[in-house]
Amino acid sequence: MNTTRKLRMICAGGDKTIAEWNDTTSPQRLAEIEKEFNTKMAQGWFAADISLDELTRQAKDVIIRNFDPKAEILLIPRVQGGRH
Amino acid sequence: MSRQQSDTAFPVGRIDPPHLWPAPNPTQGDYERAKDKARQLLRQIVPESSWREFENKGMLQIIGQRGCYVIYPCSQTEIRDLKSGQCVAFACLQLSISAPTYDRMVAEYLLIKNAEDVYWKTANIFLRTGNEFEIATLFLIAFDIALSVNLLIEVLRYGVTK
Repeated sequence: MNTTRKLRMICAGGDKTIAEWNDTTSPQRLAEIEKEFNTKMAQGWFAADISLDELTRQAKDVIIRNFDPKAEILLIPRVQGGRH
Repeated sequence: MSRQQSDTAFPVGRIDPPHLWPAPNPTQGDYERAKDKARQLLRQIVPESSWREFENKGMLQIIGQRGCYVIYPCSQTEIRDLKSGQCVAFACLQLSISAPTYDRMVAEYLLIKNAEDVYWKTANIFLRTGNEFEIATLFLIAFDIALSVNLLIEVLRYGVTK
């Protein structure tokens, strides 16, 4: 099945999709998306695989460190301690 | 169809939002739209049972190794003891960018679920000792009793001298 997957990021206006790909996407384009992913990670963002689990029908919600072209990925900005 | 052709046929690539936000002057509608999107994302992330609980009680509960976490949209996260269920601390975590509160809940949920220790290292944790309050209360009660006794003695002494 040719499923479209997305790289999404949280931003001020809610989350936005910064890239989409599927099984027919070229390796070059995937490399570009991976580069974008790695850039965000280097900036302190963290990423989660939010793909739907086939068995539980719920989001996997697993934190990932490397780009996974088979996953629906959510990028989350760096977090910090808040004020009392 | 070659890879190159299929890329053209299927428009995968960078997708820009209809308009960039935060705009110079975001309207109330922009805030509401952002809030709705963040809420939808939260719904997608958490299990159905947690979402129902969130809709009913306005909070998300996550059981971790170090405690039970209750995440609220508009206040600090409560950390409860796993056995007694009593609140033992409050945690405060925020995103480094301005984003709807539900996005902060998403971040907290994912961190607690996957990297609880990182959550403890990153969030500001305020332990709720409870003892300070009890000691202060006891001190005030003792002080009030002393004042009352003193007043009674003064009244009696005044009565005797009269």
